[in-house]
Amino acid sequence: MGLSLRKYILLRVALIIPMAVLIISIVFFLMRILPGNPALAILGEEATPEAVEALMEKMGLNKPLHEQYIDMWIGILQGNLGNSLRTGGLVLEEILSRLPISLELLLGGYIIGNILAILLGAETARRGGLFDLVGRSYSILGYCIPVFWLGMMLQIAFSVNIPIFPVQGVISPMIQLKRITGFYILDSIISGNFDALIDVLAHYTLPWITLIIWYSAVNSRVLRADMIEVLNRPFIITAVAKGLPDNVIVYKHALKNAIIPVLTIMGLQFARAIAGLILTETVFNIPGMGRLLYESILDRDYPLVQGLMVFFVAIIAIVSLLIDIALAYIDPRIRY
Amino acid sequence: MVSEVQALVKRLIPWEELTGKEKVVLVACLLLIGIQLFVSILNLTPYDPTKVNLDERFSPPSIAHIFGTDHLGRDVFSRVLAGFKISIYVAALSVLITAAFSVPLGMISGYVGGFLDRFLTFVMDSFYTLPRLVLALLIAFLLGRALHLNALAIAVATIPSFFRVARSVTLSVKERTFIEAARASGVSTKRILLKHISYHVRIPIVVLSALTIGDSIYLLASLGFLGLGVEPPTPEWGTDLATAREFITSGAWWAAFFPGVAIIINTFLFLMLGETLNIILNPLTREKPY
Repeated sequence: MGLSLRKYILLRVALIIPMAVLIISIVFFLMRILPGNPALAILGEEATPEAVEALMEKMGLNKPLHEQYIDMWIGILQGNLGNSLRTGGLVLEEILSRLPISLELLLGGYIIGNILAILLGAETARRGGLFDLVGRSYSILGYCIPVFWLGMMLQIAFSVNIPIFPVQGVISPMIQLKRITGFYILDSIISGNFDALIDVLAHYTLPWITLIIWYSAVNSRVLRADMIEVLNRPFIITAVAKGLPDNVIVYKHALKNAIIPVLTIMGLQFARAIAGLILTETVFNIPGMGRLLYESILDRDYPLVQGLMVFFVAIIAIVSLLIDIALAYIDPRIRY
Repeated sequence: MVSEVQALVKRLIPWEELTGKEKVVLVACLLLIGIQLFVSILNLTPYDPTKVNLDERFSPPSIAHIFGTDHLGRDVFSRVLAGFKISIYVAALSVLITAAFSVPLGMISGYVGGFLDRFLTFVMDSFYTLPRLVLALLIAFLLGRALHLNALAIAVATIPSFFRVARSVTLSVKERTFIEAARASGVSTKRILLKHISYHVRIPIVVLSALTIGDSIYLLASLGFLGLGVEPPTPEWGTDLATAREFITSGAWWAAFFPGVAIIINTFLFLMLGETLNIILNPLTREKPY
């Protein structure tokens, strides 16, 4: 029985909801069941019992567990993730104000990184020899290098020793930029502020390079393996016999068939991309969502940590859904 | 007794059948891990890794301090060497905890099947969706900063991958004829799981463990870097990197460079070890096609 693409998408959407519910529930119960009183952790060991009691009241922690759980879901459905303990502002607003920066970083790194991975994987599979050896070493090294260390080395090399790029942040303090959408690159283009655009791009360069190296390394290895397998199939021999140019064979015939496992991996790797983002933003002091998670953990800002978790789950769920749909679109066999 | 051990090692590692490359990789990995273990456990570092010497802050690599000194004048080389002890301990402990919990669970889930299997797979897949770092970060944040708690956080974050492997091997083995024969001759489910299936699950789990130890060293360093690792002044690579980051503009690259190299080398060693073990231990990949 075959499914139309529309029905397949609906089915996937229906399946992703219980998954997200489960993960958010796991996060919720982990945060409640594990030892440690958040109120005590925030106020410090010397806090009076009354102060602890008052804070727990404010955070809604003295209610029974099931009421807290229901409250959380009501909040999520209303788009209300509670208030940050540190700033008192709405968690959702805090997160949304940081989201554009993370998206700019992530999209730049993830898309360019994966394009690079596809090129590298295809070329290493096709050429072999020294090129293959270098490509394979790159992907193994890229897998082993801690992303935060890579970022620090780039900082030391290109910000401290040879000061080309700024060490940290998104924009220099002297440069004024009107915030319209929250996306720095987009804002500077819209307002025609090219000084700001160049400054922002200079700030983004090192984090992007860090993420690109990190993403491209692992994926190029997967693609290489698939390409080698596909390049040995009979239809490639037919293509060669027909006298098609090499580039057409590799990038049109073979890539189309090798890309499916890579897209699957890209979906799975997206979670890893989030991990890389958290570390990279911390290294470069970029005020995105990853940095926010780091800060909220240091401040023991429980509602903010929980809100960020919900947000990360939502993003990962949406991306894996999109990739599943893309897969079903490319390869009709998946729908059946 | 000695001959029995020899026989066991011989059965596990078919030394004569290995290619030269496999022998070299296996020996090199074990040797390098062994040396690091030996040096760090017996505290054979040239200096005391926690000894502060403010006269020698940020001294660059020299003959006295081959990796230089950090912001408190501590010898970076000694700290990197001593850091191995912490990393390997936490990584190995977390793998043990995970394996002890999720391998039996995965085997039972795969063998029993039905609703239990569907439910557990769903839970584990959901868990798997979250990045390991985020999960470990959340748990470490809730549990606090200590060696064993870090190990526990990493262990929980690793459960899904061990569960998946144990389950999928069980699924493929349980349909085979010898299991059917065992069942037909009245062998109890418990014995089938413990004797027959575990025999097949064992090898992929050993391989996965080696690979996961490498990953966990990296993960522990990430936790340390984000301020959730072992408390200073205990030498730990990630925490040392976080400290070095605060002084990054001082130009003292060595305090950041060498702990990172240690992480890379050890992640790489365990990656190689895992891949070589996969070839050596798995009789199916060992069989020569011709």
